[in-house]
Amino acid sequence: MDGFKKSLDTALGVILCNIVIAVLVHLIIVMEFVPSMIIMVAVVGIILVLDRFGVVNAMFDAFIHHKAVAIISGVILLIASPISLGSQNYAAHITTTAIIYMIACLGLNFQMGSTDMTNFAPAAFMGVGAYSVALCTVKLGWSPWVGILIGILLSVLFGLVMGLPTLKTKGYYLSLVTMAMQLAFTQVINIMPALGGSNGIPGVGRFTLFGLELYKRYTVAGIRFAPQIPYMFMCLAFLVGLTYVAMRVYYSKSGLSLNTIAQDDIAANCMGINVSRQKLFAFVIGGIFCSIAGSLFAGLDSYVGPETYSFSKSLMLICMLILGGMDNSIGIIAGAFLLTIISEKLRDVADFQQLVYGLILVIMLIVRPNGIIPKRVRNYCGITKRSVVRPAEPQKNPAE
Amino acid sequence: MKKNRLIAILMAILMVAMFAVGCNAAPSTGAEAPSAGGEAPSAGGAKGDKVVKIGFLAPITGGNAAEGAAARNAFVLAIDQANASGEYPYAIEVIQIDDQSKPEVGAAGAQKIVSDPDVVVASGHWNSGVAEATIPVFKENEIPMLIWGAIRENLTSVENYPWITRSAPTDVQENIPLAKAVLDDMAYDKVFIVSDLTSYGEGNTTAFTAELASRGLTALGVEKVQEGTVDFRPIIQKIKDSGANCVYWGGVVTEGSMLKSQMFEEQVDALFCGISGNYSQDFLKIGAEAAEGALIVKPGVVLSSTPAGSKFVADYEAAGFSEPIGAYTPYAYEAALILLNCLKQCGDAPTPEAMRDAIIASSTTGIMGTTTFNEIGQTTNVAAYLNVVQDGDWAVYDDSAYASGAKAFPGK
Amino acid sequence: MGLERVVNLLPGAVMMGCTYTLVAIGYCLFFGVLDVVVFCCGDIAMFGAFGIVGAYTILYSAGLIQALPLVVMVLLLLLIAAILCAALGLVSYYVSIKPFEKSSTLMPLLSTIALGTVIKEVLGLVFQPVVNGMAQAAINVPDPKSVVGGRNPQGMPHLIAPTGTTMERNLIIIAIMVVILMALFIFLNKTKMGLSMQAISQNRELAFMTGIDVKRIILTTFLIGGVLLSVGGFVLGNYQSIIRFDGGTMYGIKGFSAAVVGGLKSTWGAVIGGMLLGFVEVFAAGLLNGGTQWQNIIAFLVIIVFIIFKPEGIIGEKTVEKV
Repeated sequence: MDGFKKSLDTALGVILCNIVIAVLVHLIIVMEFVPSMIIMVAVVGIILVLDRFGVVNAMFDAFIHHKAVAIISGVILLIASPISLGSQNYAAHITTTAIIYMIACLGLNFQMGSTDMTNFAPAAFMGVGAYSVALCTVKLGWSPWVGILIGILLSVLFGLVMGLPTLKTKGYYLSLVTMAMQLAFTQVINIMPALGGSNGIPGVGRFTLFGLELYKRYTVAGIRFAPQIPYMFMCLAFLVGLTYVAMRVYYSKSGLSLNTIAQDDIAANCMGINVSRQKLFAFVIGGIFCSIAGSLFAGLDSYVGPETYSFSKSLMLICMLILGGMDNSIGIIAGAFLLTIISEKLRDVADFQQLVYGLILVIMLIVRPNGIIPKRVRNYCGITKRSVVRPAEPQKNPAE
Repeated sequence: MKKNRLIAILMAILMVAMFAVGCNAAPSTGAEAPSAGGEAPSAGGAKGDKVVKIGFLAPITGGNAAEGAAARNAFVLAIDQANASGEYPYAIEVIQIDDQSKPEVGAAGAQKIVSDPDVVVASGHWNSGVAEATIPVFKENEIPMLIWGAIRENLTSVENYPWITRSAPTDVQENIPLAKAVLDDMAYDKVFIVSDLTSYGEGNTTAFTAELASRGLTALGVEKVQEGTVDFRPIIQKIKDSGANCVYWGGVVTEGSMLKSQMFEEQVDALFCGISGNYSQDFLKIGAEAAEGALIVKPGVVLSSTPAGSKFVADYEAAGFSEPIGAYTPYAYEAALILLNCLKQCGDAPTPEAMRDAIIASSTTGIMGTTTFNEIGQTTNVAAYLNVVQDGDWAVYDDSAYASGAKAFPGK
Repeated sequence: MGLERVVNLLPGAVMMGCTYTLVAIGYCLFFGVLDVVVFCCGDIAMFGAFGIVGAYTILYSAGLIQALPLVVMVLLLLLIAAILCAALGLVSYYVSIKPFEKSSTLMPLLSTIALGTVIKEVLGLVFQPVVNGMAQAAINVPDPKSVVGGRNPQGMPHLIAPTGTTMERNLIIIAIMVVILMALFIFLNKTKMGLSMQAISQNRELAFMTGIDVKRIILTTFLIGGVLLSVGGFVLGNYQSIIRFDGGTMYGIKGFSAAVVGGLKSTWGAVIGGMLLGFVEVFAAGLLNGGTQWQNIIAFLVIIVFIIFKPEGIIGEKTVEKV
C-alpha cells in the first residue's frame, strides 16, 4: 500500500487519478439504471476501503504537492466532460442540476458543517435567488444577471434576518426557527399573487453572456450539442469559483473561528472571537451561495414554483451534505452528485425515493457520521508549500 | 460500536429488501399496464424493426397517482390496440415518464423524451404547474406536445402555438356548465367559495368568480386552504354565519371529501358543488354517508351513451387494471386516438414537424365526439355533464332521483 | 356575530389544542430525560393510528369486531396500538438516539428526522391500495369497491361515540386528555419511577450516583412516550376521521413548536403551548376574512417570536450556560 501511495504522489499519478475520476463520473451519468448503480456502489465501497488505508488522504496530499499539474489536468477534464456528453440532453440536464445542488450544498456547509448550526432552510435561500431572477426577467424585463445580483442582496438580508435568532438561541431552538421560516416561506409565496402564487412564474429569461445565448443548441464540428452544454459551462465556472471561495474561507481565520464556535462557543468567545459576527457571517455567505444556486436553477428550468423550494428540498440538501461529508468541499461535491444521480435513476420507482433518502441518512449517521469523504485535519503548510506533517512517515524521519 | 454496526447492517438489509420489493412492484404494475416497451416490438416484428416513439408524461406516483396511473393505462391501451391492428408500418412505443406532480421532475423527464431521436410527439400532464415547466423544453427541441389533462387556461396560447395543443377543456370551460346548472337552473344565489392553494384551486376560484360576476353576484366569502388541511371547522363556522346556501369547492378529492363530511357533521344546510378533481371513488369512501348530494361537473360525455365510449369502458375493464377510470382517463385515451390518427396521415416515416402540422389540422372522431383544434391549439370539442352522489355511488345527474324530484338538494 | 362566532369556534380550538398537546407531552418526556429532541414523535403517533386501522381490519375480517362490545373493542385496539408504538419508541431509541449519546445535539435531531421519514414512507407503502381497500371496506362500505391506486388517505373507524353527536365525541376526547394528564402527573410526582425520571432530568450523573438505574428509566420513558403517542394518534384520527401517512410530519412540527412555546421540560407547559397553538390557528382561520390561508403562517410567526423573545418558554426556568 505504501508503494501505491508513493506512486500516487507523482505528476503522472495525479493526472491518472483525475482521469479515472472523470471517466467514472461520466459513466455514472450516462449509463442505464442498473450498471450506473453498480458502478456507484462500487465507487463508494472502494473509497471507503481506500480511506481505511489512508489512500484518500494520500490523494489529497498528492494533489497539493503537484498543484499545478492537478489544476491544469483538472481544468482540461472539466472542459472536456461537458463536451463528451455531446447531444445527450437528458444527461446534460441532470449533470447541470447536480452542479447547481453542489453549489447550494457548499453554502449550506458554512452553517451545518463549519459552525454546527442546524439550518433547515437552504431551499428557501435558493428560492430567494430563483424568484429574484424570475421576477426581474419576467415582470421587469431586466437581464437575469441583474436578477442574480438582486438575489444576492436579498439573500444577505434574509440571511441576516434568519441569523438574528442564532444570536439568542442555539441547538433545537435554532433548528425550529429555520424550520418555521422554511415552511412559512413556501406558504407565503403560495398566497402572494404578485409572486406568481401557486402557479409559479413560467418563461424565466435565459442567461446570455456578451450576446452569446447560454441555453441554445449549437452545432460545432458537425455535432449538434445539447442546449444545456453552454449553460453547464457557466454553472461549472460558478462551481469552480465558489469552491475556491469556500476553500479559502475554510482555511482563513474566519473558517477557523467558525470551527471553534462549533466546538464550544463560550470558549470561542473567551478567545476573542466575535461569536455573533461570525455566526451572522456563516448565515450570510451560505445564503449567498444558495441564492446563486437558486438563480442558476431558475435559468435552467425557465420556471419557478413554490413546490420546488419546499421543506423536502431542504431535507434533500441536508442529506447530500451528510452523505458526502461535512466541512470538506470535495466530499460535499461528491455527496451532491451521488444523491442527484440516485434520485434521477430512481425515477421509475419514485414511491421509494423518500424512503431511500431516509434510509441513507439513518445508515450514514450510524456507520459513518462524517460522510463518505470526511473532513481532513487542517494542514496549513500544505497550502503554500510541501507538507511538513506526513502522517505515514514518522518512522522514516531518522533515515532522512 | 459493535451494536451500532449490527443496527446498521439490519437497516441495510431492510433497504435491500425494500429495493427488492420495489423492483418486484415496478414490473408487476408494468405488467398490469400492457407494457408497450416489451411487447410492441414482437407485435411489429414482422414489419421490420422500425420504431416510432411517443412520450407520455403523467403523475404515476405521488399524490395524484390515481388519475395519472389510470390515464397511463388508457393511453398505453390505445397504443397497444393500434399496434395489434397492424395498420401501422412500424411499431409504436410509448416512453412513460412519471412527473410525480413536481415541475422539476417533469422537466428532467421531458429532457429524457426529447433526447431520444425516435420520438415524434409527446402527450402530457395532469398538473398545470408541471406543464408550465415542460412546455419550454418541448418548444426548444421542436417536439409537438398534446396536453391530455392539464386545464389551466393559458397553457395553450399564441406563443405556444403550434407546438402545444390540448384536447381537454380548460378550467374556464369546465366551470361554465356547472355555473349554468347551479346559478341559473337551480337558482342558488348565496355562494361561498372554498379552494385549495394549488394552481388548480386558484384557476377554479378565478373562473367561478368570473361566472358569478357575469350574473351580477359576488361570493359571500372566499377561503383558501393549504394542501393537506384536515380541519375545516373554522371555515364551516364562517359558512354558517354567512348564510350561504351553496358551497363551491375548487380543489381536489381528499380535501373536498373532508370538507363535505365535516359539513355534514356540522349540519350545514347548503349544496356542495365542485369540479372534476373530486370525481373519484375516494370521495365516496372518505365521505361515506356524508358524501350524499354532492354535485360534481365532469368533462366529456357519458361514455355509456356512445358505442365507442362503451367499447372503451369494456376494453379498459377487460384489461384488468387496478386503477378505475378517472375523470380524465377518457381524455388520455382520446389523446392517444388523436395522435394515432395523425401518425396515420404522416405516412411511413413521421417526423415531429409533420406531426405538428397534422395535429393542428386534424379532425378525429374518438370516444367523445369529434375533436378539432382552434387557432391557438385548444380543442373545440367541449362537453361536460353533471354527476351527483346518490345512495353511496356516482350517478349521472340527469338520470338521478335529484333531477326527477324524488330527492332534493339542501339549501333550498 | 363576533362573540357568537368565538363561542362556536371554541370547541374546535380546544380539540386542536388537545391533539397538539398529546404530541407536545411526548417531546417533553423525551427531552426531560435525555436532553434530546426525538423528532419522529408525530410519525410514531401516525403509526399508532394506522396500527389501529390495520388491527381493526384484521379483527373485522376475523369477525371479532362485530362480536365484541364497543368498549372492549376500543380498549383492545388501543392496547394493540400502544404495544406497537412502545415497540417503535424502543426502536427509535436504539437506532437514532443511543448511537449519538456522545456526539453533538445535531445528530439525534437529524437521525430522528430520517427515521421519521422511514416510518412515514413505510406506512405509505404498506397501506397501498389492497390493504387500504380492505380497511375501507371494513370501515365504511359493506362491499369492497375497486380502490384508487396510490397513497390515498385512510378512513378512520369511528370508535369514540360512533352514534353520538359531535359534542359528545368532543367531550369524551377532552375527558381522555384530562385522565391522561392526571395519570401522568401522578406517575411523575408520586411514584418512585416518575421521581427517578425527574432526577435524571435534573442531573444525570448525580442520579446515577444515587443508585438510579438510568438505563432502565430511559427505556421506560420511551415505552411510556410510545403509549402516550399512540393515544395521540387515536384521538387525532377520531377527531379528523381521516389519517394521512404523511400527516405525521406537520403534526410533529406543530407538537414540537407547542412544546417549545410551553417550555421544553415542563408537562404543564406542553398543555399551555398546545392550547395556545390550537387557539391561534383556529381563531386566525375563523375570525379573519380569508384568514385560512394565513393560519399556518401566523402560527409559525408566533413560534418564531416566542423563540426569539422568550426561548425558555412560558413555563420554564431561564437556564444559565455553565462552562
